[in-house]
Amino acid sequence: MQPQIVINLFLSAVFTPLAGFLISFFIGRKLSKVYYINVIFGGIGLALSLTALYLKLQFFPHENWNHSFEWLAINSAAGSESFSISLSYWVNNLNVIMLTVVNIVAFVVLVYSTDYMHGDPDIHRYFSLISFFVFSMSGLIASPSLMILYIFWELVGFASYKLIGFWRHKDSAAAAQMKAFLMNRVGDMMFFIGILIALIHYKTFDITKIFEYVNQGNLPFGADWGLTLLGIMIFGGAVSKSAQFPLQNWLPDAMEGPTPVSALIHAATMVAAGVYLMIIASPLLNGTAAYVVALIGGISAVYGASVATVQTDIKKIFAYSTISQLGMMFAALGTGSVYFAFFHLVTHAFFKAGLFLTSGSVIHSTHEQDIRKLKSLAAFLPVTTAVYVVFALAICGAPFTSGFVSKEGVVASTILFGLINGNYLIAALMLLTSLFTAYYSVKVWLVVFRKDKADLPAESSHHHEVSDENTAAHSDDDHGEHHHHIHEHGYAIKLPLIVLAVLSVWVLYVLNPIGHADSHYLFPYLTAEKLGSSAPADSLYPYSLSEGPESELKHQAELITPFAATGVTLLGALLAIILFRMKKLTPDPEGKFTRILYNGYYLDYFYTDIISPLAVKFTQLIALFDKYVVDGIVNFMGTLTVWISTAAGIFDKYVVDGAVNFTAWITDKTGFAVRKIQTGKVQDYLLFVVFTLIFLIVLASI
Amino acid sequence: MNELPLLTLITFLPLLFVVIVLLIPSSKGTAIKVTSLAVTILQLIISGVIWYGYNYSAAGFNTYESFQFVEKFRWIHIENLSWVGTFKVDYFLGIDGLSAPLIFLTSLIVFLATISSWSINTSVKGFFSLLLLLNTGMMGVFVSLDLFLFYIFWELVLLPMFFLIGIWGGPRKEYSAMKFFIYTLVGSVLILVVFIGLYLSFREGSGNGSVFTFNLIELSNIKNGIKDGGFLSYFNPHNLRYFAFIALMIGFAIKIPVFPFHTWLPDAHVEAPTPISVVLAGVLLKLGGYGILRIVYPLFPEFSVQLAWFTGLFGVINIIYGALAAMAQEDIKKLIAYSSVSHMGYVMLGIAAVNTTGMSGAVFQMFNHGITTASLFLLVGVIYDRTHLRGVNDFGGLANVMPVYTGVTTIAFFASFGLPGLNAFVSELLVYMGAFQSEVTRMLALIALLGVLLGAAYFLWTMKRVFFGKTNEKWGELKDLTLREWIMFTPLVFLMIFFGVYPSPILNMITPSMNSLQSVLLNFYNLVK
Repeated sequence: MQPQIVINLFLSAVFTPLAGFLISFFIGRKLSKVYYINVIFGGIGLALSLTALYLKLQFFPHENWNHSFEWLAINSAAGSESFSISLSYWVNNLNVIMLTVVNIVAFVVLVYSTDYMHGDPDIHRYFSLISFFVFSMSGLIASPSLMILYIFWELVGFASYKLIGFWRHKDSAAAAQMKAFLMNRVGDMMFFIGILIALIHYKTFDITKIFEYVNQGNLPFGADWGLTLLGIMIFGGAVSKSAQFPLQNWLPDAMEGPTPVSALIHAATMVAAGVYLMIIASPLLNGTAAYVVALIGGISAVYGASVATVQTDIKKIFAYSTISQLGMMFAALGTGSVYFAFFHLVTHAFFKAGLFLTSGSVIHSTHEQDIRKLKSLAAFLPVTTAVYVVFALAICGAPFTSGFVSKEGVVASTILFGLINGNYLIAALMLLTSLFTAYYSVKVWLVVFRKDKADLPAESSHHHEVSDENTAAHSDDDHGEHHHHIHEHGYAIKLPLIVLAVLSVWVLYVLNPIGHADSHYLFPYLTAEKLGSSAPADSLYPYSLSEGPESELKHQAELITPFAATGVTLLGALLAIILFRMKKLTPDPEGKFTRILYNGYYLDYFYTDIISPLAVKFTQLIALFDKYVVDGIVNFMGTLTVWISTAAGIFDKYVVDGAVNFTAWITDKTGFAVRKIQTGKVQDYLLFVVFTLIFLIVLASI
Repeated sequence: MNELPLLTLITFLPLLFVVIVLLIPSSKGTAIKVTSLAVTILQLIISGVIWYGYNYSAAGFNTYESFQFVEKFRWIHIENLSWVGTFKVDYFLGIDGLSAPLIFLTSLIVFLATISSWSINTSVKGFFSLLLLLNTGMMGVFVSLDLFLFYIFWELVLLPMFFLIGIWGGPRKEYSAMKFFIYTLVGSVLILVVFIGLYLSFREGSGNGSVFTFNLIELSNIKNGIKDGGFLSYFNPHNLRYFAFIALMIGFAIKIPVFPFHTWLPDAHVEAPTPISVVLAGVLLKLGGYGILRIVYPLFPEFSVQLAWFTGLFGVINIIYGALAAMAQEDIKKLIAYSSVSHMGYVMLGIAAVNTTGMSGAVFQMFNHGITTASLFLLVGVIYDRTHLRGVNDFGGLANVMPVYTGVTTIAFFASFGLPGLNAFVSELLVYMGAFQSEVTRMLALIALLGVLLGAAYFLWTMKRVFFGKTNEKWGELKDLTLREWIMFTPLVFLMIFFGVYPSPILNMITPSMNSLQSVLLNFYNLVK
């Protein structure tokens, strides 16, 4: 087995979506159903990445390859600042797995979309954009160069911009896409500063080389705060991309795009990029930066989960839930457990994609996404309901689901952090998040899916009402018999859901060839032995669950976790059930207390109603300044010149010209007086000459 | 291939054709248009030949060896002029890594502008003769290596532009044309004064055979300065060079345009017809940046380095201020004009970095800005032709009616604010990296990064208001791009993507020259320090 085979498979998997994009983009308009090309290329990409993954783990589990070739070079005579940007790629266990996850979710979404988007006039645009989206994410995964990563990072943002605003006629979609891109740009700026800091200090973009320098004690600006700054700046990019506090508001709005796009954004291609970045950049985090990561993660986790509890839109519930789950990943990462951050990223990708596709199935069947108007769907949508249960259990971390393994790990690592540090804040935030998570998952089950015998007779009238409200949007619906129309869609919808449900089951991860104990093979570039003895003193590794010396405390943490986590989860579920019995599970979102949560603690208002108008006002002020002050001065100079020249004109006319005219007048008068001399007769002139001559002679002789 | 006087051809072909165009009867508008188009196509072909024959390995800056396709003849030679001695001006042309990309850019932009001028139907003959004259002027500035010649071309640009705006412009054309003319004339006067000063301070040749010189290469050699009496020579103890530097910088800054000398630009753009806006933004603004790098930097190395922070400061002001002002504009053309102010700020910032990366970024940014802004103005022209409106709020939901147009606009907008994979990203990246590497401009670069956010903000906001949301009923019937428009946008879109993905063909041309310029500047600076 040649390593080159794996590398080639990997690279082919990266470029397959690009081929799909180009083909469907250029001939998309010409042919109907051309979008199957995207699905086929998605399938090829999946097959390639799965093969690459299998071969990598089977034959080269301990290796990782780095290759690069020059993209653009600046050669400087001074020598000190010569550098080049390389189109580099790396292949290691981490990114092969990540690529496979992306391809699985992408393929599932593509298949699902063939039904979901069926009949949309712009369907080829939709599919080519999805392919482009997947390509951008694959490119991001493939490179160890921060600059190349940044390039694809932006392309991911661009693709999400196009897809969120896919329905171009919707004003809300237009607002959402802009918001998403601009909020991301804020983080991108920080990320870019981070890259520049790394560049001026290490003269390279290659993250593995940067690690080596850091391990040798070569820190940016020669100080620990330099490393902190670098870490926080790079994290800034992840904050916006992964919708973390305080740049999270774009994500709930992003559901303006088609639902399968949301599944992609929330699971594999967009928000995952931020976590992935922090995973590969984690060796750069020193204690302070890591704590910032953990803290932001913890706050976002509680923020997202608590806001999700009162949302009425089924997609918004899951959107806020994404914020919270990603927050958990950052909390794990910041408290030292890169392994569980990544593990949770993988499991979350499947069950969150599943949750969104489930909600898509609900919306597709009922044309309704307000949970207060949905009821007893288990009676009509058995498959959707069944997979929802799996996904909900997974997100709660119930036993026998994937979430059990990964989420327990996340909580355990924060508890371990507390045990070592005596700082239990992050752990507390995680447990609170677990409680809310269980609450909203169970709530959706109770309100939307649970078959309620008492409700069923009233069903017909209920759905009647629903359909009336949707007449405008879906005029082809048959009003009276609407509930008969609530049925499962075809296999293109059902199969993806089932696949994702299977991927959310625990068994698969037990078979995981790279288990917990082998986790250092997952991150070969950041293992302890490679870090050497001169790693920053307060680096993350003591806290890592997967390695490090603190085995006693680790054992303790692993013991506490199941009780604590399961306890709060059950508590959350119980709370939901009690409130359901009290008929208070779906309170008025505009209530006194719920209003704060419903509006996401008014953070969104802060941005859209305060910051944004202020910014616009400020730009208008600048424009006025430009018009009346800067240009005013110019025009004033012009006017002044005109005045001066007018004054000069007057002066010229009356003084200069007056003088001239006066002279002329004098001359005229003189001439008039003297004219008489000029008689034209020669003898007169001779007479004058003679007289003058005599006069002169007399004068001279005196 | 090098036997052909390619630079003379590419410069004077339009001038020759002015005569031919003037001979065509006014009634035959199409014949005039086709003739003009033929000239620009010929120029494009010559550009291609130049590119093909360009030697990438040439190094040096403002030396005899650093230039290619050189043509040098004695042009004016008057001996025994009282105290001047011999008055000598050479016809001296040549290009290097700084001017070559701008030559290519110019030939492309005039080609597109000519296609875009197809809709001009009033005084066709006058319009196209002036456009051709302008063409010669612009090419001439980029190829001439003699300050006398340079200045003639510099002024040659001014006059046709004045008439093109003043006659074929919008409602306030007289005001705008006058403003443009007077503003740039002030700049020209400053430049002229310094040029004359330089002429009288430098001598070419040695001993008694030496003569005053306009030769740029001789002027770049500080040692040629007159030891006593040359008032802009480096050996003059009274530092008049300081003022000369500032005067020259202002002269060129007006063209860029740099805050606070920028207000002629929005007015000129708003009134100018589409093709003229394209030329104005695509090529004319580059004359300033070119002048700074070609003349100010090598001739005044000490102040170029010492005052770099101020150059950078004005660059940053341009970036931020231009973006903020752009965001508040209601007229799309004005918005793009301010975005030009913002994007040309990157050129200033890159120049201020005084290192290879930054200056290469600046030159590449000039090239890229030419392509993106030309597309933007052409794009505005498309809807203006159809609706005679160009307010940001006049439209809405155009994406549903004109999908291809929307696609092209998306690419041009995203290219303008630096989306990776499109051309301007590479140049802005280089500018940021260069400015961040230089300790002098590091903090400025950090502030300038706000431009990344602001640029996206005003372009996306425009995008949202013009293209997305519900379609305005009034514009339900608008036609998407016509064949002529396809021809205009295809090369632009191609170049935006091509140089975004593979910038090396241009960058490898630029960097050796900028690298040499950097060493010239730093060597000199270290010498005097």
